[in-house]
Amino acid sequence: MRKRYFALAGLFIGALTIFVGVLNSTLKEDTYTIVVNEEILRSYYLKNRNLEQPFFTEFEELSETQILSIRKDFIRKEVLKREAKSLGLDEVDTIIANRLAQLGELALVGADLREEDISEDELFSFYKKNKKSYIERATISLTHIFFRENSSEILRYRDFFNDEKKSISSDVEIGQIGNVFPYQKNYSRKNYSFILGHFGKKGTDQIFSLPSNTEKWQGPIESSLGYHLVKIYGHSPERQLEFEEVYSEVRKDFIESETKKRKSTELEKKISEYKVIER
Amino acid sequence: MFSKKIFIILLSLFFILSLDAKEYSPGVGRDFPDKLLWGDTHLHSNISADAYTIGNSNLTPSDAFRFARGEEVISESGVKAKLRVPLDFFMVSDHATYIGIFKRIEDRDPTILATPLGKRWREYMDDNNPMLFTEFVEGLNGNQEQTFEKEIYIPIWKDITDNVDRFNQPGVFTAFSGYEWTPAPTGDNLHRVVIFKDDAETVQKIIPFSALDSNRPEDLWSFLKDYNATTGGEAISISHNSNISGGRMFPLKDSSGQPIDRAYADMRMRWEPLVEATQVKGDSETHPAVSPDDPFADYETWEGNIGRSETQRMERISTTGDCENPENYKCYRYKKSETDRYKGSYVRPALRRGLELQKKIGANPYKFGVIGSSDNHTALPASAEDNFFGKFLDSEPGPGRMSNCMAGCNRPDGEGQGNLWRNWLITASGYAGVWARENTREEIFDAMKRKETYATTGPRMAVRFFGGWNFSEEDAVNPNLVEIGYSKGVPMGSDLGMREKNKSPRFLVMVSKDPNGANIERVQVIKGWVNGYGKSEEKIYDIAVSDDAGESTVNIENATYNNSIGEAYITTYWEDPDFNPTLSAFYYVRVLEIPTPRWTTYDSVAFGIEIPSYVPKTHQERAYTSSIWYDPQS
Repeated sequence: MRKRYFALAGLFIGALTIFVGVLNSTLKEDTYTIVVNEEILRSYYLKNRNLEQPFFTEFEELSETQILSIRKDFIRKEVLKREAKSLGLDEVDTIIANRLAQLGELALVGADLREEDISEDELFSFYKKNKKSYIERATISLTHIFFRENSSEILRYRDFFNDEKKSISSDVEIGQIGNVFPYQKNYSRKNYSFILGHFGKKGTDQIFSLPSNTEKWQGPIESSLGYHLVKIYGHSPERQLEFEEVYSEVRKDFIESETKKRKSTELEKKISEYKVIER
Repeated sequence: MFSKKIFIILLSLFFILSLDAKEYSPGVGRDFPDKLLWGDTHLHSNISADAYTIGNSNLTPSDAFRFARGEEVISESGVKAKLRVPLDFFMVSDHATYIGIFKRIEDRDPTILATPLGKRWREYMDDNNPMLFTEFVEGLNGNQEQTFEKEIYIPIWKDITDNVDRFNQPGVFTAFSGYEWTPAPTGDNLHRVVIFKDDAETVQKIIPFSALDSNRPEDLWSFLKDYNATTGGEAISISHNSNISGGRMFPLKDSSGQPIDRAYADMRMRWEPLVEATQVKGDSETHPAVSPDDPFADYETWEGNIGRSETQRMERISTTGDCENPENYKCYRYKKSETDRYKGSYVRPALRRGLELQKKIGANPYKFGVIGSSDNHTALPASAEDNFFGKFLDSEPGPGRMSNCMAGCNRPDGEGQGNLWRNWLITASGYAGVWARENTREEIFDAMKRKETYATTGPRMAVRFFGGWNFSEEDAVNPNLVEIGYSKGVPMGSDLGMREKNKSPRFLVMVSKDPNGANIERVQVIKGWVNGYGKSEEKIYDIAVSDDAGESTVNIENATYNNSIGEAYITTYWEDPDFNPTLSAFYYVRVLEIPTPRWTTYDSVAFGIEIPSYVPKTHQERAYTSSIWYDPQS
C-alpha cells in the first residue's frame, strides 16, 4: 500500500518536473524568439517612418534592401528592449513606476456617479457645506481721472469739479485733463481682484475704503501707476447666492467632488488590505 | 465744364471739413477696443494623456477654470495655489490625440473595448504593462498606426465642451472651447492650439482633428475651413514652440516639399493668424544665432527639438566652465550646416522670411500676430516667477524640481535621446494680452483675428502701439492718446495705410508696468525690412530708456528687488529715421522690465537649495507686440 503511494508521488513529482521543464523551455523559447513577418515589419515601419521626408513611401513600395534594413533595426531594438526588461529596468524607472501606480488608481474607480443616484437632500447638504464657494464678491462702480505725477493741480481740479456752478459754466472737460490711463476710465460692478489688476494693491485698498454715499470726486489716491481722482457710483456688498440660483453649478460640483471622494475611499480600502512591514 | 470743376472742389472741401469737424455727440468715433484682457489659451488638464501619465491624475478642466477665474485650488502635489489677479479669458487645450480615452477604457466602455486598440490597451491596463505609456507617446508623435473610430470621441467631446460653456460668463470671464493638435515628426514640434469662437452646440458638430488624422498643417487648416463652411462657426489655429521645431514651423517648403506659393500663404494667414511666442518650454522671439546684434536675444533659449532627438544636427559649443556639465543644454547649437533651422524656428526671423517671400511670390505667409500662453500640464496657468507651478508634476513647487527632468529623468521611451529637458530650463511664462471692446468670446476672438494682441513672459504690463503717417510728439502726451491712435493711425497687428507724401512712419507707444510687478527699463522698436536684393535685415531702436538702465536691485540671497529704478509709465513718439519708402518692413515693440529674480532664485530661498552656477539667477521679463507692416505696394 505504502509502495503504491510512493509510486504515485514519484509519478506526480516526475510529471510536475517535466511540466515545469517544458514550461521553462517554452518561456525561455518565447523570451529568446523574435517573430518577424510582413505585418509586424509594416507596423514597425509605420511607427518609425521618417516623416521629415517630403514624400512618404508606402511599405509596399520599399525595396528589398530597405525592408532588410528595417528588419535588422526591428530585431536590434527588440533584443535591446527585452534585455532591458530582463534586467528589471522597467521596474526601476520612476516614470514607469508612477504610471503603474496611476493605472492602479484608475482601476480602483468604479463607474461614474449616475444622475439617478443623486438626491436633492445630498445636493442641498453639499451646498450648505460649501457655501463659501457660492458667493458673489463685493463690487464697486467708479470713474476716475489719472495723473502721472502728484501735484497741487489735482486738488484744484477736484474742488473745481465738485463745485457744480463753476464746472458747468466752465470749458474744462473731465476727459481733457490728466494723463492717459492704460486701462479703463469707467468701472462698472467690478470686484476687488479685477481692480487689483489695474491699480495694484495700495490703490485698490484705498478705492474700496472710499465712502460711496457721496457723489463728490474724492482723492487723490495713489496707485502703482500714479494718482487718481475717483468718483464712486456704488458699492455692492458680498452676497451669498441662494441654492436655487446656483442649482446646476452645485449639481456638477457635487458629481466632481463625489467622484474624487470615491476614488480616495477605494484607495484607502485597498491600502487597508495590505500589510506594511518596517524592515 | 466749369460748374463740374466747382462741384468737385466743393465736394472735396466738404469731405475735408467733415474729417476735421468736431462731433456734437461725444460718443461718436469712440468705438474702439478699450479693454485690456489677460488670458491663457494653452493649458492641459488630466484629460491630456501625457499630463495624466506624468502625474496629473486629479486636476480636471473644471479645476483649471476655477483657478483661472481666481479661486484657490490644491495642486496635484498638495500645494495650495491661487492667482494674485484672475485671468479674464481662458482655454483648456487638451491634446486631441486620444482625448479622454483612458477614462473610457477604465470605465470599460464597450464601444472602445470592441476596437482592437481599446482591447489591447485594456489588457495593458490589466497587466500593468508599460507599453500603454509607450504607445500613447507614439500616438502623440503621430506614429500610432491604429486609431479609434472618430465616433468614439463624440460623447467625450460633448462632455468637455458642455463643461466649457458652464464656465463662460460673458462680460466677466470668457471660457473658450479648444484643443491641441500635436504632431512632432522626428521630434520636431509642429504643435498648434485650436480655438473656437462658438458655443458648445456648434462646436459639438465636429470631432477634434488630431495628429492621428494628419500631421500636415495644411490639412488642419482645411479642417478649420470645413468647420466654418459646414457649421457657420469659426476657429483658428495658433502655433507654439516654434523654438523647438527644428526649423519646420516657418518653412520655405510646404508639407509636400513644394516651395511655398500664394495659395499656401493665403490659407495659412486665414486660418493661423497668431503665434504663441513665449511659454513654459522656452521663448521663441529670436535667437542669438539669427540676431547677433541684439544684446537681449538670448532669453530663455532652448536648443534642438522637442524630443531632443536628431542630435546629429547639434554640436556642443564648449566643455569647460558652465558647459562642463553635458546636461547644460544651453551649450549646444545647431551645426553650421544646420543654422537655417533657426530661421524657421523663431518669430523675428520668420517675420523677416515672410517679407522675403512676399517679394518673391507676392504673398506673405508669416504676417502673424503674437500672444503668450503657459502650456502647463498641471491644470494651473500660473506663470509668475514667485507663483510658478511648473510644466508637469515633476516641476511643481518643491526642493527637487530644479534638478529633475521634464517628464522625468531616464525616460523609458527615450531611445537614443536620454533625458528630455532639465527642469531648471523651463520658463515661468507666459500670458496673452488682448485689446477688445468687451470680455466676450466674440470680441476676444475677433481681436485675435485682427492680431490686436501681444505676448508677455508673465508680467501684465499694458502696451499700446499705433502706427501712422500723421502722429506728432504732442499726441504722445495727450490724455486722448488712444483715440488719436485709432483715428490717425492703426493699432498693432495692422498695415500702415498708403504713404503720405515724403513722410516716414510715425508711432505712438504707451507702456505701463504690471500694477503688481516690476518697473520698465526700456522700450524698443524692432524693425525688419527686405533690401533691394530680396534679403531681409533687422535693427533695434531704443525709443525710451530709463536713466538707470543696466542697474539691478535684485538681492539673490533673499530673492527680492525693488522699484527704485526704472519707470512705471512711459508714453512716447517715434519716427523711423532710416525709412526707405521702396522697401517693405515690419515694426514691433519689445518692452523690457528691470532685472528681477528668476523662479529658480525664488525656489532657492523658499526651499533652501543651492542653484548650480549655470542656472540664471536674474532676468528681464518682457512683452512683444504684434507687428505693424509697411508695404510700398499699398
